[in-house]
Amino acid sequence: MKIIRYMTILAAIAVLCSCDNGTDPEDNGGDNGNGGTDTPVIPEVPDEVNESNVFSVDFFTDLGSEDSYFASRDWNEAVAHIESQDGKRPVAYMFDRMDFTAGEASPAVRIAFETGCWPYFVQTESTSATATKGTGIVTAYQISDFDSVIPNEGVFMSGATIPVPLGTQTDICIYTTTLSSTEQFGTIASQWTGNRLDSGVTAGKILSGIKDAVSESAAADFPTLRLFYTDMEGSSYDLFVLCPAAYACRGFEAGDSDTLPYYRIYFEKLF
Amino acid sequence: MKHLLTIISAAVLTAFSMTAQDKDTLKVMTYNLRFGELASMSDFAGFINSEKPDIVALQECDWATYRERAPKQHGVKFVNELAWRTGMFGLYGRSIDYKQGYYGIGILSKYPVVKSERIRLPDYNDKGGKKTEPRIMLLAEIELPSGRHVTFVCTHLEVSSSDVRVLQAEFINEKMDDIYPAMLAGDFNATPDSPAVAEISKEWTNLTNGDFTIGSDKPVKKIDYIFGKSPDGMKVLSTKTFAGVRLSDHLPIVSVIEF
Repeated sequence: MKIIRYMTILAAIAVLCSCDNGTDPEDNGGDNGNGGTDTPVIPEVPDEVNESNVFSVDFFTDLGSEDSYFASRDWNEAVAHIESQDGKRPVAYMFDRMDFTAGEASPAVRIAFETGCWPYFVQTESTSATATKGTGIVTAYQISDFDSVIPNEGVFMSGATIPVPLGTQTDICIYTTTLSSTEQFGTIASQWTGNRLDSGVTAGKILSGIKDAVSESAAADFPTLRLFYTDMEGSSYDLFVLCPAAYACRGFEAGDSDTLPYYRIYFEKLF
Repeated sequence: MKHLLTIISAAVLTAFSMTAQDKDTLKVMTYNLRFGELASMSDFAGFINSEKPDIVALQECDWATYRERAPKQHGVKFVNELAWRTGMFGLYGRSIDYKQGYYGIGILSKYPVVKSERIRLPDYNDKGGKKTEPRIMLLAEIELPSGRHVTFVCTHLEVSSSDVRVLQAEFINEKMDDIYPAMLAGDFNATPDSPAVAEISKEWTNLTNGDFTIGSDKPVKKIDYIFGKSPDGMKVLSTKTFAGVRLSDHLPIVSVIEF
């Protein structure tokens, strides 16, 4: 596998904001390191990785393709991929896009059936009487809650609360969405900074052309969140991770399959 | 005057048409599978496919168990296999660990589920009775092609204690208090004149007929239901209990509901 170049945005910018206000932190009596400013500071992601707190997701995608992922692929290859995993396996497999046609078995359902996993479907557009675009999630973990955040028309984000086996079993909600505008990002990010969401991460696709604007919005409006994304050359979409301060993305690795393009996204629960 | 009447008629027709368009129609099924003792998943899927329901509530569903009374179902994950065979999305809710796997209930949906939750029902008897088998309600919020959302709940209430069934019915009513439109389907282990069904009926409308649903050879009582509630009411366009279908000891029910 090769490691994809990626960028961390928010933690660094949040620190810069807090240091640039001319206030001596000691003047504030040690008020949680806020330095007397309204800009909150989140701890930087430590260089050292605590491997026992790392978990991963395999994200299968053609990135910019307009076709459903399995339009020209055999879902049996995904079954073989899942069954070939050993050691510390990904906690979930996400398939983007995996459209759902009412009355037709979705590839996610077939893959789950063959692998003994649990299938879920995250729609990325309103339900249609025929096919609905979305992302399939397959996980080996029994899910108690599947949660969708549909704050307004055209913005969909859903995820499953997975009992992730870290040092101790930890319930972590792993959401996915596709970002195609800065406004969408603001809507999704505000779910994390409000009371709506708590412990978990959002991983998905972002339109490459909006990354700069999203970074600015993130730094200005959501300094308590961490944002990471890839820098794919020649692709109209990149991958991104958005998470609260308790989590970090530890990298994106391109899978080594020629026929089944995917990226393994590593996360660490920091505290 | 005639011209005015024409205009008024057109306006009324338009209003009626809009009202009709605002309504959704769903074909809903409930079926207790009796852990597959009497039929295969292929048989069950064949029946479901013959009816083409939009949503199905399933009870007594095993997940990879190895129970002696159903040797042909060893290792079978009922809801996964039915989802695969019917082209619907499946949700599984574990009630208990059982025989190396799980025993529980499930939901099949033709439309995407935007939210699901497995909720434990009260399994105690506050009148001093012994603790009963753990039971759950499985909730799925489904987005319909019209854009409306409907919350569908599948459940299987306590079998041996009427008091606990009433507690479970009260719990469901409280949990679903402000959620509309909603449907509640499953095996209630309670006849139409029972306290549990009386409790449910405080909040929900029965969308099935009075035909007996158990046993399938010679039905002796009704304990399976589909209930619904909506601010504007729910209208039963048709309902049928499938006498003669002997894939389980229960009979399946299908209701077509407009709301």
